[in-house]
Amino acid sequence: MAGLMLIGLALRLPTERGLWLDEAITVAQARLPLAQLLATLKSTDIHPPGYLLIQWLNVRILGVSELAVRFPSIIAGVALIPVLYFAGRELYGRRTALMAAALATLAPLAVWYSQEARMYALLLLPSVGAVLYQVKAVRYGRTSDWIFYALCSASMLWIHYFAVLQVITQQLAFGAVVWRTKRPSFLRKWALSIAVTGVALIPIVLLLRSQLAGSPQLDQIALPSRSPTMTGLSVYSILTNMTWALWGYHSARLMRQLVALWPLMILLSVFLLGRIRRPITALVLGIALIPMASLFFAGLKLRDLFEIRYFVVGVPMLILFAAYLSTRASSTRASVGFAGLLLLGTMALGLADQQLNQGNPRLYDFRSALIHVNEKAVGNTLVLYAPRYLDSVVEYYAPDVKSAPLDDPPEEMPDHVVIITSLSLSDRLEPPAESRASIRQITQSLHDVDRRSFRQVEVLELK
Amino acid sequence: MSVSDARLSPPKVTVEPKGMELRIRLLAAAGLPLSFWYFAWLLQPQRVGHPVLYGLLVAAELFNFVQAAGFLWTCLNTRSRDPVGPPVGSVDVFLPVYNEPVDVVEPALAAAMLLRGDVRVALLDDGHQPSMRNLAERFGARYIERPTNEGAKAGNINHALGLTSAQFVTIFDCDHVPVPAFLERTLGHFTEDTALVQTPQSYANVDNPVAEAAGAQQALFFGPIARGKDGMGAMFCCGTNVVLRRTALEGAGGFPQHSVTEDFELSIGLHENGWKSAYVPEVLAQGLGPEDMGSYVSQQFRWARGCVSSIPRLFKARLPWRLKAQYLLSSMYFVTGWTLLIYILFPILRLTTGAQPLAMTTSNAFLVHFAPYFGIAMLVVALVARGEYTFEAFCLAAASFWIHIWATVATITRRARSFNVTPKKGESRRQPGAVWPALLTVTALAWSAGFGLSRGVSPAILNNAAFASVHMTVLLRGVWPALRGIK
Repeated sequence: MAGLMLIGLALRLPTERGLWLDEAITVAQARLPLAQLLATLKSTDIHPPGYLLIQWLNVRILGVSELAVRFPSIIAGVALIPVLYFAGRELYGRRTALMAAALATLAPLAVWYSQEARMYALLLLPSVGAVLYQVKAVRYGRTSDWIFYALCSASMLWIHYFAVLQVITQQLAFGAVVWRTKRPSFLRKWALSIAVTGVALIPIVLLLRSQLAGSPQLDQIALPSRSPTMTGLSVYSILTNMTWALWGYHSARLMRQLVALWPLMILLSVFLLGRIRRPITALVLGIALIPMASLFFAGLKLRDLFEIRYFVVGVPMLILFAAYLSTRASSTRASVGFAGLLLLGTMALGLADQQLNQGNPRLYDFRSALIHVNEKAVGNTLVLYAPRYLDSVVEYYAPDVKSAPLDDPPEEMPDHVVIITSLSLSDRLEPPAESRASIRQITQSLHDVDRRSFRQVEVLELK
Repeated sequence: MSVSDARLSPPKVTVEPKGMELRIRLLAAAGLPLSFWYFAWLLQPQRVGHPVLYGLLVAAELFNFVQAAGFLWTCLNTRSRDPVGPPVGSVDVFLPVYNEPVDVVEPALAAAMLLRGDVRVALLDDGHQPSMRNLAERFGARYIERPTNEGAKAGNINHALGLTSAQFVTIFDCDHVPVPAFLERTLGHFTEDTALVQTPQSYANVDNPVAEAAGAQQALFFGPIARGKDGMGAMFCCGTNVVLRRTALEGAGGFPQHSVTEDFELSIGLHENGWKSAYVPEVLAQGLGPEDMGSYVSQQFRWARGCVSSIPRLFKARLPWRLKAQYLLSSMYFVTGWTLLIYILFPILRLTTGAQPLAMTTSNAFLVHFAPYFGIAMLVVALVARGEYTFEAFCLAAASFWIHIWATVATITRRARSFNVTPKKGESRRQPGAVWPALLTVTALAWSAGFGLSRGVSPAILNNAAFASVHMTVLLRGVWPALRGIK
């Protein structure tokens, strides 16, 4: 286990990625005084405070360097390895647990979010913990297991609201157990766990009320960091998200090729005949698939909701299920070994491509772009950015430059303007066409001196 | 007689989970609109790609839809049956043998002698072996042999009918070991117009991979399918573990000797004569499944040949529509190999010639319509089979597709039929020759995938290569015991 954790740390530490939009927003929020942070959360954000409170503390201890702000995610990502092992051991036994831990070490999506200053890596810990303690509670009936389950459930919701989908799935599972077994002591402890969760969530419920009251209509919310390879919702989008879940993020071309291999899922479904008899597996698959299915249907109304990050709680369960299948593929050691190596091998390849392929559409090189901007910005230079959410990124990498959003420039334009845009970050409140119109207007009085392209970021210098 | 013989262990008891019928009804209710959703999309003029391939696809899909719908219809009619009277009556117990090893026959004969009731046991030896005569004498059973082997097993039984006189006749294959209470559990289900009471076939040698997979196939038939047929009065004689009323059997002229599935043919005749059948879903005897691929192929070919041959008879049979439909469903199962051949051909043709059955569509559109339909079908099988129908059983059945084709061609060309007894003891050596058509198919799939990939890795090529891989995996898994040998 120590070896796997060391490998996991070695895979998670090095990264070429600079902070991207969401991370910069996190840092900007974490730098605020605590009271202002909470007020900001209430009025302009739609996330619970758990992760931000941890970051608030983290930046005051470790600072705001890229490594520092990603430190909680790195630790959470490494911690997932033993947590998934313990869960796997309780649910399926030691062999599956070891395989699950090995997969979690390499899992591309787990590594990706371990390198991102967002809440997703942290969310996975209580998510897996909740599954572990639910199973323990049903099997052994100890009050402590019920309480730990409740605390894990509450922790999830302190970190991300969409974790409610897992909580609901697990409550349905408890309901199924009650219906089958009808144990009075079970009912009492279930009620206790709901009470403990409820009490722990009181502040969250109050916050959510304020957030919903202060937010625009849900269909007006433009989430800036939408998946860059998705347009409409379709079976293709489901297959893409499932491919991301186990094999990570890749270029659009490679994703089309991978998704074309969907007939292999026919083989998987037939392979599962006679192999899913255990209620445990129904629970694991339920947590993996129900949140995804729910967000798919929600995404028919609000497209941005169907995105792997929002049902990332399913990823450890998919890893666990894959581990279970590979260790039960056959009764012969050779077959089991082959299946395990195949899974580990394809994941390792996926990880390598995700981390090294510069064609990954999730890579935005704001760091290099803003280093370039810093070099160009002298004296009276004005930096204009689009979309307006780039303010946090500009503030992080170029705090000393004078900047303004492109769609709201100052009335008096200086002689030297640098425009930084990332128009692939589509924003319904600020369509790319409007940004281009603003650029055309500005270039009527200033001349195009230099254009530079960085990964999905454009820098235009005008004098 | 070895005490470690698996047939001597108590038979497995399976309990129908509560609420099963409701779950099946819900799945059927969901499956019907999803089927219409799929076929409404498929059966549009703009879907036609290559016309011949499109026609083949539609034919295969419709055929399998009818099989699936028939399967659901059958499973929705299960009944639980209670005895209608005391288990009384004299019984002649027949064990037909033909050169089987003594250690296979001995436990069955010993168990037959322990059957409770008014029982007379006879060993019907078409092999004319002194060892069998000695065996019968040792256990106090009657030894019957005849001067010729005409009519194989059917002829053997018919000959014994003429030499015996009990009210009922029970038949056990010589490897099937009944429990002492077999007749107590079956005779009570005879009404005045009941001709036969059938019980499940169950294989005890599940440590053998071929027998285990074959047993899982049997579990599906002798589980929900047989119970459903019984609900419609359509259960047929399966040749062993069955009790028959002598007068009904003799009235039908005995077992038909012209068919290699004499039990199936007999049942049609009995139902035509107005007799009824019953099924007791309790494992009351355990036998030995085929232990190598050669034996399995031989068994499957005999069943396929017999059932396909009976299709013309069934169309003319004077049976109520439910019974006729049930018989046709069972017979037509042995034609499903043609649909698998069609599915296998599609990626080969697409990769090598570019021809495909469907046009004007994307993978996304296809999946939106096909995936729910397929998913429901898988759920139904998983639910109804209660986890007993396994991937290995599926692969073994799929890898036998060529047997259905061979049987159909043999029937159409009227090749002479021969009754080949399924060997009861397996070969441990590799038997690639027994499955060469499947191996040839795998080769064709592999070559076409390699050919396609050598020309590029576009999503279309990868998609068809994936289909080819799926077929290859299933076929190879199915024939694996023939390639590996039985350890």
